[in-house]
Amino acid sequence: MRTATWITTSVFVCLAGVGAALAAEPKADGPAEAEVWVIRATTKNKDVAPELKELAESLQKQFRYTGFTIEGRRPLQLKPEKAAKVDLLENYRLALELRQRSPERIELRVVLLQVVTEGGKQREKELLKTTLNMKPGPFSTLGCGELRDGDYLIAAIRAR
Amino acid sequence: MPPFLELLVPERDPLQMLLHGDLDRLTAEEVAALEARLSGDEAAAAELAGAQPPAPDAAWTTTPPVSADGWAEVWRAVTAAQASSRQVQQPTAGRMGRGGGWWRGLAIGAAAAGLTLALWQASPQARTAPQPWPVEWAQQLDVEEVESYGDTLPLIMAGGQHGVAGVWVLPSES
Repeated sequence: MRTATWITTSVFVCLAGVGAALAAEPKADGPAEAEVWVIRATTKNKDVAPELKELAESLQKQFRYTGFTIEGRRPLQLKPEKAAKVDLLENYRLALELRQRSPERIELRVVLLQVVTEGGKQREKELLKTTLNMKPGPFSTLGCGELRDGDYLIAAIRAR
Repeated sequence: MPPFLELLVPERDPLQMLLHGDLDRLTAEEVAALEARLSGDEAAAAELAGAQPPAPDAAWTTTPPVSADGWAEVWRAVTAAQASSRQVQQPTAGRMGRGGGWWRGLAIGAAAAGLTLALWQASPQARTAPQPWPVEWAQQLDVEEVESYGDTLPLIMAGGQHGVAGVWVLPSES
């Protein structure tokens, strides 16, 4: 009876461990969690958001911008072959589509759009199309363009 | 008391019982009879008044004292009985020793915790619960294709020593 108790307990522990591992593993064909940060780069100040410190140090070497602030955070779920759109700042918009996904890489189709009004109707004008193959987790940057006040719009994109 | 039992039970003398201090065995009727008898019999009342209760150590004097060897023999018997009792109990403590029950409880607790964790991971609440996502910046990015429109040029930032990886849209005149 005592041996049976130990065997039963051991089986339960193993099953629980396997179950937890299987439940936590994301499915390769399932939706991906994504997030887009809307970032304003400026030359008017030197205010840098704490989360953007590494980005600021990187961009300050190549561009003239000194201040970096987070204007918004846009969480979204990306489903395969179905584009999700997020508004950034002013009339900039971003369309993201999940192409492929594995534990090591995520492939996103990214389209930068500008909403313009022509003939009383709004339409989306494509500014940039690209396909990014990235490691799940870290932010990749998309430099979108100038804002009306001369600052620059950056979209930071990550998915997992 | 039924008549036939009276033949089996020795005759009770309440007065003798009183003289011997055996008061607890007297019935209420016997007490009432004694009171009536003593109130009408001055000689008996006088005899009773002079009677003394039996000495409390009378019972002790009838028992011989235990010698030192006798006590030693008694304690040897007690010790032997305790040892044999301990030997009988030993097998039920389990092969793991006296802590066997503790290990079993720990294993069962661990199994229960693991099962609860597995069930939680599979539950809808776990799927919707926010997972921690630390802020990191890509040092490497593969750009499969890129097209820009209008008066713009794309700039691919490889990352690594060049900084954070990304794709930038720049005015064509820059």
